[in-house]
Amino acid sequence: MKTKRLAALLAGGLFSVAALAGCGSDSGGGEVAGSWDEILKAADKEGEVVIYGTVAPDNLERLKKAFEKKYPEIKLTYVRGTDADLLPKVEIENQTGRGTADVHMTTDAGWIDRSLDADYSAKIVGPSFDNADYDRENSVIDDQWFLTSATVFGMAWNTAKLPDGLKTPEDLLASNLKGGKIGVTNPAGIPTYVDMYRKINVDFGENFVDRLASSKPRVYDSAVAIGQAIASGEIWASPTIGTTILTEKANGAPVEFIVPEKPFGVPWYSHVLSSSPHPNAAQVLADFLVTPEGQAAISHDFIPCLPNVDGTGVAGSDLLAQDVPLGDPDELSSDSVASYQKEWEKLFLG
Amino acid sequence: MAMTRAVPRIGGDAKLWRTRALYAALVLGLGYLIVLPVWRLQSLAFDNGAAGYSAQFGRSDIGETLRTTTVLALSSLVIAMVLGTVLAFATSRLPRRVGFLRIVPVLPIVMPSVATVVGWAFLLSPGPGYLNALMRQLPWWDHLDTGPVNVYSSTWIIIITGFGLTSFVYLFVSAGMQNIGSEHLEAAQASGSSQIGVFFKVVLPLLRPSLVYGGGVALLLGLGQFTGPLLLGQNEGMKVLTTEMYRRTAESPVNYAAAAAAASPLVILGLVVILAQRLALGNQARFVTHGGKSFAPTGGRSYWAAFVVALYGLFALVLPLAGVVIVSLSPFWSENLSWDFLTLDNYQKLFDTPGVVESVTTSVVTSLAAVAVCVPVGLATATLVVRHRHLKLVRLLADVISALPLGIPAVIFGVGFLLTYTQPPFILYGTKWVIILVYIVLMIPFATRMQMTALISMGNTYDEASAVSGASPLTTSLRVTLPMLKPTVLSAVALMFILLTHEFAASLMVRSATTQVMGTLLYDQWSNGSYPLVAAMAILMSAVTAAGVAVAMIIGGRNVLDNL
Repeated sequence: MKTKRLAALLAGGLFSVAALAGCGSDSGGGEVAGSWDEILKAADKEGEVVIYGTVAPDNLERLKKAFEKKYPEIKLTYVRGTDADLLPKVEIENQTGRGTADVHMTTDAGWIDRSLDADYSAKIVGPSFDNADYDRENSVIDDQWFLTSATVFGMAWNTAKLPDGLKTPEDLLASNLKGGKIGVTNPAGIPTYVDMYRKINVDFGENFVDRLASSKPRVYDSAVAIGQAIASGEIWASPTIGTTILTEKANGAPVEFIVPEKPFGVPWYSHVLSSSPHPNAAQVLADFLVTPEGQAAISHDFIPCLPNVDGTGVAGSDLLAQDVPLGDPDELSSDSVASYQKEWEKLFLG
Repeated sequence: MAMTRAVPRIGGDAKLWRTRALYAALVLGLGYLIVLPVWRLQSLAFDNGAAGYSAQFGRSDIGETLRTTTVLALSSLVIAMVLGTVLAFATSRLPRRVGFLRIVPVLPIVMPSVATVVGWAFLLSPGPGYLNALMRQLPWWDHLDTGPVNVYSSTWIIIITGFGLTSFVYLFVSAGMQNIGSEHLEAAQASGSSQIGVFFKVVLPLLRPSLVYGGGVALLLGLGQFTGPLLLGQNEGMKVLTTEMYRRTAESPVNYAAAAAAASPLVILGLVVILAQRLALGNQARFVTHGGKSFAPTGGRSYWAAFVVALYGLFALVLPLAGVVIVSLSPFWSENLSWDFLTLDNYQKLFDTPGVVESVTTSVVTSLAAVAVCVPVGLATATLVVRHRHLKLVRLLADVISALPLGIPAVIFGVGFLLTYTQPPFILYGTKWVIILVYIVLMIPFATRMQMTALISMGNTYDEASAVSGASPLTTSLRVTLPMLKPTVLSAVALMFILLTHEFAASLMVRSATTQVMGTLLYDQWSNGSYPLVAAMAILMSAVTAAGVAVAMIIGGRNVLDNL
């Protein structure tokens, strides 16, 4: 009797879980409405949009505030991660047809190129892409990927540890910075860093990367983590991007950043995902990203894709994202990236 | 019972077959949930001429990865076995006045492992680590500008892992120690044995099941260590098999086959340890220690025991928690502490951060759902294994399958579930269901083992006494067995809730970008965001777990954690 009751209880438990498990919601999106006005109405009805991005979290938070101010009916959710975090998710969502993200930003030139042959993206339809300042011809790839922002890599340091600061990339190789006082980003899963290391190995000085490795730097997963580590004094300096450093500086951290003579730059491109569960809201967000309000948010302390946007750009320069070339996809093929990553690991972690 | 089976009646036969069918359904259900994802993953490693093995084991660093995995597991096992046994002995010798210290060795389980690991990083990071900064004030280290301790080194990752495993070993060993009736010790002493003689000749042999089980569990947990190597090890390139699996799933495209290949040694070792444990323990009835009279745990009045337990509490709990609290109150992590800097802004910011509130809800809901399923499933499995010796094959399968998640690291189930549930027939990616399912699987061993231990310890005497007194099996079950199991069930619920609200390794694999649990969100903040937010999140995680434990104590009484 006891046996039967227990077994019945158990079978009930297992089958109810199996039944519940079978009813996962299908998040497949609907159709994009006809005219832009209809898209705006449909987007309000969808009421939600999700963006995956590798830009600084503070910029995504600014984007959320600016977007929800302009479109109060649509809630924006952002997910910040590295390409290693986000690209597998985009691929799984595409494979399963269960999209979470509507818009996706990346700097991975190889992945952008490969995605053009696959069914990852929807065509963009917003009116702001035709704004003359945006320069659609030089900013949009195959009506799918659109230029959104750009950044440059320079040198950052902790001013309490290095009161004299850094002037050139060679200063990063000084003997007092050997033994774990420099921080570098692991390029595992992030081809943009492969591109960066290859370029600065020449532009920052001959065999710069090889010489940097001999300083035994500490390895981090992302530029954001490096920004925190410099602020805390865990590391003293790093070749990295400026935005996270400037954010920490605004928080009162003892940090500084300069752009060297030959900086490495990288543009961000975005696309509306074909697996988007909110296809109309996705189009509205894509359009918003290339408006002056969108740029003020997403390109804060970055290089904008529109001229004369307050709070964006590099001090003393009118550089635009259109001036920062996308990496060569042939040099960033999966095999080439994997091969460099192995080489890098041997150099820095071997 | 034997008579009934020896002379079967027609009605009895039908009953027997129904029982068999129901238990077979149980085993099939367990097999689908537990074995299938691992099987699919492993068979994938053999696809395309074993391309997964070529990709993973053809790497130039594979030798180093295997060596690091082994050294981490064995060294942390040694630390955990010694500390766990010493603590168990010390808590059995605690003076009555400081008896409350008995809870200390269990408390580190309440603190999430991710929180402990980041807590140690905040204390012992070579640069701004608070303890390092203090140590650099000492005259013999005042010339250093970093260190003297490097928490990112493999030595310290091993020590922190060993500390983390100590509580688990302690649970097994102290449970064994408490079940040793004083009549055994008195008998040995009456026969002229010294205290040390009693310990080695009576206590240790009776602890054998606990030591074998605790050691086996700690070894497997050590082999499957993920949190420490992932959070601390990347800084100096430490690689173990579990982090390699994670890296293969963070590649574009995801390389399931290579991840599966990295999992293979751990799956094989897990199976070997589980089977070895079965052989080593043999007939479990030999370890029934509830005697007919004078059952009482041993006691003591040694103040050294109080010191040992308090010292462990300081290192395993107070210090890492202090590190986390200080950083959570700072605008940014820095060795230069100042009262003027301290702020609660991080907590405000934490609740404004997208996904934080949802992650708490998801953690609690998925954990409770999994626990609700695990208790009856565990009880049914335990009953099958302990009370139905005649169902040989079904019983053996239930015993081995329900133990598998203890032997196979959670990260492997995570990858297996990611693979299985991103494909038809059940595409559950991005839903809470996949998290609930993987949580059920991870907790089945605890639900089963804890209830099984209670059933074994009870032996058949209570059932038989009840039957002799004229009670029906149902009355016996309702009035004898279940009331005796109540403390165990409540303890199992508390333990499972604690472990699940902390769960990190499997969750990291099956979560989607917007369906996160607390541990995975904390990791995202660690690798992408801000240390003060990581610290605030760690405090929030600990608070949620503490609230769960408080509820368990209200329902199950203050001793609910003792029963672990």
